[in-house]
Amino acid sequence: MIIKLKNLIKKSNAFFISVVLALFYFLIIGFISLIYRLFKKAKKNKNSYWEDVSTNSFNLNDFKLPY
Amino acid sequence: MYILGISAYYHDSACCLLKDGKILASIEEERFSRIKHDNNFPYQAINFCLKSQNLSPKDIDFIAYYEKPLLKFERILETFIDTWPKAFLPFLKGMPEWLDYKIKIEKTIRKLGFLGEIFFIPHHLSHASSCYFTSPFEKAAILTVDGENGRQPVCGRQSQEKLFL
Repeated sequence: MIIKLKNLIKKSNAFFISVVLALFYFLIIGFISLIYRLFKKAKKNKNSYWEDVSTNSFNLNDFKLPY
Repeated sequence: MYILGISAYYHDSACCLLKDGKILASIEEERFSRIKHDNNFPYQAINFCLKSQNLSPKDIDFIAYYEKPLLKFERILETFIDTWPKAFLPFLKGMPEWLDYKIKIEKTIRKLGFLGEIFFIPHHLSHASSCYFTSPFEKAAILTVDGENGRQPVCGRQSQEKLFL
């Protein structure tokens, strides 16, 4: 009985989280996506590090952050 | 100097223990959990690597994590924005996992009892390093390509025991 109740609570929690995430996805992410598409740059930046890899090297501090 | 390398939450979670650049122990979590390609945090693999050398987490000098989790999270968010509304189901599946435990990897590592420095190595550099430092070559050109782009270029070169990307 207790296990069934626990499962029911888990499922209702998961459902509630899914509803919140669905709302977030369609309202917030959708709005940001609209803005992103309207103002997206047509051309890529040629000076980006993607284009010129030869000058990039690492130092130890680059690895200390999760970002 | 002992270094513990950890890979988790993607696929085939694993752990590797090195002493002064030499591999002492390395094993995947799936060998203990019996779940193929297990992507859970490799507690048992870490435990095995440490016990094989009679070490505790406090004896480890550095821990290296195989990617930069926040960079990956940002890339995932941008992908959700870029692919809206096609990625609805991956969003529903992925976000709870990210917000629950994937983004808190540093806290999870600290729970092991480790007090030293944690290094977050860019994903492709991890691939390039595992390829180069276990190879017999002094000089090498490295190309890493996989499904996990942590916003790094996919080409690399090696010179004087340093890797450049």
